[in-house]
Amino acid sequence: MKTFVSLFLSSAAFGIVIAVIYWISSRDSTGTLLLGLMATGLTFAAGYAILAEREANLDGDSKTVRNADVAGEDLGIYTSSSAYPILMALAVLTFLVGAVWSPFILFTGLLAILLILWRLGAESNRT
Amino acid sequence: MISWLTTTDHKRIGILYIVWTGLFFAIAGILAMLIRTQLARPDMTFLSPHAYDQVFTLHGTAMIFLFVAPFGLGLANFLIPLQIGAPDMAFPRLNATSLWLFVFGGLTVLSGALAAGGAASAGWTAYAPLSEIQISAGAGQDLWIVGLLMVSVSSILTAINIVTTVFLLRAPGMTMWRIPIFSWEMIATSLLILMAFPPLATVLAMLLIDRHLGGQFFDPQHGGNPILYQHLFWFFGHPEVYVMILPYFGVVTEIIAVFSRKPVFGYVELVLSAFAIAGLSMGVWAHHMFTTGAVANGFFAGMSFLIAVPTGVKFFNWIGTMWKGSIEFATPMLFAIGFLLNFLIGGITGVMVASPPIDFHVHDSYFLVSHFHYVLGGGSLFAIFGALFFWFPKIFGVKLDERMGKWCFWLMFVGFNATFFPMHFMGIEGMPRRVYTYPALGDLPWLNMVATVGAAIMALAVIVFLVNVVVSSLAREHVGDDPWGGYTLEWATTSPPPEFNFTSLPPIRSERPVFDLHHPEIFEQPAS
Repeated sequence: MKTFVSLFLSSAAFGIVIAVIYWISSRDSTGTLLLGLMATGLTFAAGYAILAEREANLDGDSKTVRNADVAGEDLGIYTSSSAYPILMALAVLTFLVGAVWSPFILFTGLLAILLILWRLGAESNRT
Repeated sequence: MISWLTTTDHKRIGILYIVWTGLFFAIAGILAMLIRTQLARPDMTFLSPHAYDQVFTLHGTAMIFLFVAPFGLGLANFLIPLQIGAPDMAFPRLNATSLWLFVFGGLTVLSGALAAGGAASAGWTAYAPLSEIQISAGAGQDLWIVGLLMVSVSSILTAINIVTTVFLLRAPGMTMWRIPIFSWEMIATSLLILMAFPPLATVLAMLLIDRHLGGQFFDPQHGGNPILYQHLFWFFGHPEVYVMILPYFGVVTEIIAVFSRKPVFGYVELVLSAFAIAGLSMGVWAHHMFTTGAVANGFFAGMSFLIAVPTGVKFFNWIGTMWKGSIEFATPMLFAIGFLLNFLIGGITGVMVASPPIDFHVHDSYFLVSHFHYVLGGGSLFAIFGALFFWFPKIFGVKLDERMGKWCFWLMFVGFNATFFPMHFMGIEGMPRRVYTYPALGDLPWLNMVATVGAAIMALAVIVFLVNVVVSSLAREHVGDDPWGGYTLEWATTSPPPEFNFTSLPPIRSERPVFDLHHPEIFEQPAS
C-alpha cells in the first residue's frame, strides 16, 4: 500500500506543478483549468490512498509471508455469471439513443438502468 | 452460448475482448484496403469523395477505439489476475459490463454505415464545426458519438477495475515491486485512462448537446469556440496514444526477457519510465494544435521533447535485457524486435514533429500519417501479434505453428514498411491526408503504388495468421503449461487455466516466481 500512496502522491504533486508551470508560461485559462482539474482529482485520490493505507494489511505487501501462513483465508466470493452486465449495456445504449432521437426511448432506457441497478444490488448481496 | 453472454470470469471476458477487437480489426483492415485501392493511382474513382471520407473516418475510429486500445485492456483482463495470483478481477460484474458497453458501443459506431446519409465522415477527431449538425447532419455522426460515449465509459470502468485488482488482490508475497512489468504498464495505462477519458466523454456529450439540444459550445457566432473542442479532444487524444502503446511496452518487455533467457534489465527504471511517460503525456496535448496559433507552442514542444527521455530509457533497458542473452528467435521475439525497429522510426519522427517549425511544414500531410502508423501499427500492432503468439498457448492450450508464424512476421514486416515508409516522402512532397485523390505530380504516383502493394502484403500476413489459428487449433498439439519457459505467474498454472486460476501457488520471492520455482538452488543458503 505504501507504493500505492506514493504513486498517487507523486502524481498529484506532478499535476499541481505542471498546472502552475503551464499557467506561468501560457496564461491560457482552458488548459490550466484542465490540468487543475486533473491535479485536484489526483489529490483526492492521494488523500483517499493515505486514509486507506492506515487500515490496510495486505498479504501481497509482505515480502516474507508464505502461502501456508494464509491458508484457509477468505478471499471473498467471485461470481462466475450474471445476466445483468449485458442487460445494463443494452439499457445504456437505449438511454443514449433516446437522448438523440426520442424522449420516450430515453426514459425507457433510464428506467431499465435503474431497474437493473436495483436487481444487480440484490444479486450482489446474495453472492 | 448463453454462458459466454453472461460470463463474469475474467479469462472468458479477456477472450471475448480479443475476439471482438479482432473482428473490429478485420473491418478496419478492409476499410484500409479500400483507402489504398482508391489511392493506388492518381485520379481514381473507385470511391466517391463522400464515401472516402466515411471510410477513413471509420478506419481510424475502429483502429484506435475498437482495436488497439481495447485489445490491451482485453489482454490485461486475461493476464493481470493470473500474473498477480488473484482468482479474478476485483469487480467481476463491472468487468462484464465494461465488455458489453465496449461491444455495443463499437457496433453502434459502425452501424452508422447503414444510416441514411452514411456513416460519420468528420475524421476520427470529429472536429467541430465539421461534426456539427449544420455540416454533418446525418444519423451516422450521432451514432458515432453515442457509440464512443459507451466505449469511453467502458474504458473508465475497466481502468478502475485494473487499478483496484492490482493494488488489493495480489497473492501473498507478490509485493508491488515484484509484479510483472506488463501489470505495471497496465496501472500506468489505467491512471491515464482515468485522467484522459472523462474529457472525451465530456466533449462528446457537449457535441451531442450542440447537435440536438440547442447548445452552442463550439459555435463562434453564438459565443462558442471551436478551439475549445480541440483542447478537450486532445487532452484526451494524446494520452490516448500512450493508452495504446504502454500496454505493449509491457508485452515486449515480457517477451524479450523470456526469449533472451535473462531477467528484465532495469526493472525499476522500466516501471518509473512508464509513469514518467504517462505523466508527461498529460502535458503535451496541444502539440496537435501548433498551427492554430492559439496555444503556447514553446511549452508543448518542450514537454513533447521530454517524453523522448523515458522512452529512450525503455529502449536502453530492452537492449540491456537482450545484451549477452541466449536469444531465441521464436515468432513472439521476432514481433518484439519488429516492434523495436518500427517504433524507433515512429519515435524519431515524433520528436521531429514535436518541433513547431517542422510541424508547420508537415502538418496534416502524409508525413504525419506515416509517423503515427509507425507508432501504432509498427509499434502496437506488432506487439499485439507478438502477444497473440506468446500467450496463445496459455489462453487456448494450443501453440501456434512456428513456421507459419515466421511467414506471418516477415510478410507483415515487409508489407508494413513498404506501405508506410514511402508516406514520409509523400508528405514532404506535399500530399495532404484525408483527401480522396491526388495529382500525377513528382514521385506521388509510384510511391502510392508501392504503399498499396505493401498494404496487400500486410493483408496476406493477416490471412496467414488466421490460417495458422485454424490449422493449429485443429491439430491441437499439446505443448504443456509453459512452452516458452516463462517467468511470470501465469505460466505456473494449467493451459488454459482453471476457474479461479490456481489450484496452488508457488512461493513468490522475486519478480520471476516461475523461474525461481524451476531453480530452487538460487534460494538455498551456501554451506558454511
